[in-house]
Amino acid sequence: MTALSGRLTQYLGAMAAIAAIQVWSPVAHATLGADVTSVESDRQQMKGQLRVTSAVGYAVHEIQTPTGTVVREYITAAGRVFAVSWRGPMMPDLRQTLGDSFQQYEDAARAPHALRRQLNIDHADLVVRSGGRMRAYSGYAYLPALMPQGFTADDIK
Amino acid sequence: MHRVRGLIVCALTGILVLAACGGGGGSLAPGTPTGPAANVQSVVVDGGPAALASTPDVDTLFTTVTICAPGSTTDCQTIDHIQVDTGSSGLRILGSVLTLSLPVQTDSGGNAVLECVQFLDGFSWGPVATADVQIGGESASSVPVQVIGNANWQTVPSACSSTGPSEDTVQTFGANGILGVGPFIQDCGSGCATVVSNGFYYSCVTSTSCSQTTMAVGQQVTNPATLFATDNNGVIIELPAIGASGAATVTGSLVFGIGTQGNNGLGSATVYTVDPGNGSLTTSYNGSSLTNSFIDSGSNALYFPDNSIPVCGPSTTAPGFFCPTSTLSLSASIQGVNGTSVNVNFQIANAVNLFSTNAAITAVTNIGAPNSDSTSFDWGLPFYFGRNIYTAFEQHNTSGGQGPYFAF
Repeated sequence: MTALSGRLTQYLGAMAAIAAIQVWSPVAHATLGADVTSVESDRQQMKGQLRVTSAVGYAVHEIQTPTGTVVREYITAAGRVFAVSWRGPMMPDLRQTLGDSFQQYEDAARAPHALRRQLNIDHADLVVRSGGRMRAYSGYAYLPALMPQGFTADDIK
Repeated sequence: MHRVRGLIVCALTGILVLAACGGGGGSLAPGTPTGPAANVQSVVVDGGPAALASTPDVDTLFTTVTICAPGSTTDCQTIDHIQVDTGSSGLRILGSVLTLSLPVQTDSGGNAVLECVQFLDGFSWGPVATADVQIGGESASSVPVQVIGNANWQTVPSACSSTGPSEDTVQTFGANGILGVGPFIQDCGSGCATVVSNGFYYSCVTSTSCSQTTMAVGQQVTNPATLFATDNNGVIIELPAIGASGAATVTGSLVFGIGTQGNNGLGSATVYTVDPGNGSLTTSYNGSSLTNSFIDSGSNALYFPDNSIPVCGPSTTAPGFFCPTSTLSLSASIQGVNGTSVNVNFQIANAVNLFSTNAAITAVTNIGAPNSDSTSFDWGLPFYFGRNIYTAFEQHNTSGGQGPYFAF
């Protein structure tokens, strides 16, 4: 049990409250599909600040990286990362952020596509939206099977 | 869709035959390409390099660039089908089309400088090299450029490859290179001068031993148009209007400088300033204020969030584009950071019908696609047809004030 997961457990326990508590601390983020207690290895990668916010049915871990990119990770009540989003001058390390879904993302991104500056992947088990240009990237990915009831893609900020 | 070669020859032969390719002179209506001059380079919208014959580009703007080994007037190469992009900064050439040998830039420790660039659906890895750059009658010496997919530098650090698949061939890149003439001087800027883990710049002891590094602003890959001796404060992209059914090929002008010559004054154009950090401005659409909007010649459609418009299915000829049952007439308002705003009317046609009606078209003014960012309207190349769109560079004074801004 790490300091991160300990703190998270605390918030998950208080999740009935909406956006009740915000804390900044220098810890790492989780990986899409992974359990929050299994991500200690991610710590070393991110040198950013973490803010945890709880909402009904999920929690949001928001990391501000040194380059200014903000990465948000959405965690189910059961402690699984079901969505990630990013915005800022750098794309995040998607191999780390997407975890087991990265290969699926890479294969789909490699397939011929007519859109430029915009990548959409719509698989039954993985949805990715990525867009932007130099100095301003944004996007998100989620696992439909893990989405909390009532949560939609529009709730990903 | 078939690729059409048509008027490519104008771009290929550059300034020598501009008189035969450019538009008229005198007083110009917006969207009328400027005639030949030292600060004017021909541009073309067509299917792209020959390698893309079976999968031609759509709404992709190209020009021709001549690069030379630093200091040489004979060791030069002229390369066609370089994409013109106001959404990035710096010149990047595919290693597979480069026949010149260019010196690789080194850092203070004498190690080679390499760069990882993210074009969002993949990454482009390769050395930062130094070249003299000529575009039309303008030239700049010792410009830091990127060579993408260089044979000597094939081992990609995992921090770079983690952004997706490699885009290091003409096929995957969609062009022979890209000319970034966006509002910023460098591709990364001050962030890369201070943060080691910046994701852009790497110092390589050997081709298999690279680590991320800070890079002084002056050594970063630089928008060549900011380094010209004159006409270096901005660019104008001038494309004629095209009909609702599209066009096989469209030629226009890339004009260097704003208010520096008789042919590049602002005239009746209005200035819309952009966020000095990321180039964004605001678009009001459908009752929403989209604060991360931008104007980008490198986007091949109008990308905006509107869940009410159907999207062409994955097995169609235009997967991912909007597919309304009938052409939509829409409007939005663009607002600069300076508060100046303008109403813009535009149309979104059914992309499948467009391309099935005329398979030869590569230029269209009425295609769109969903924007993954619900706070962003990306005014891509369709917005450029029938307009003269000015991009003013940051830190540069112009007759319309200091950049960064767009004007039209």
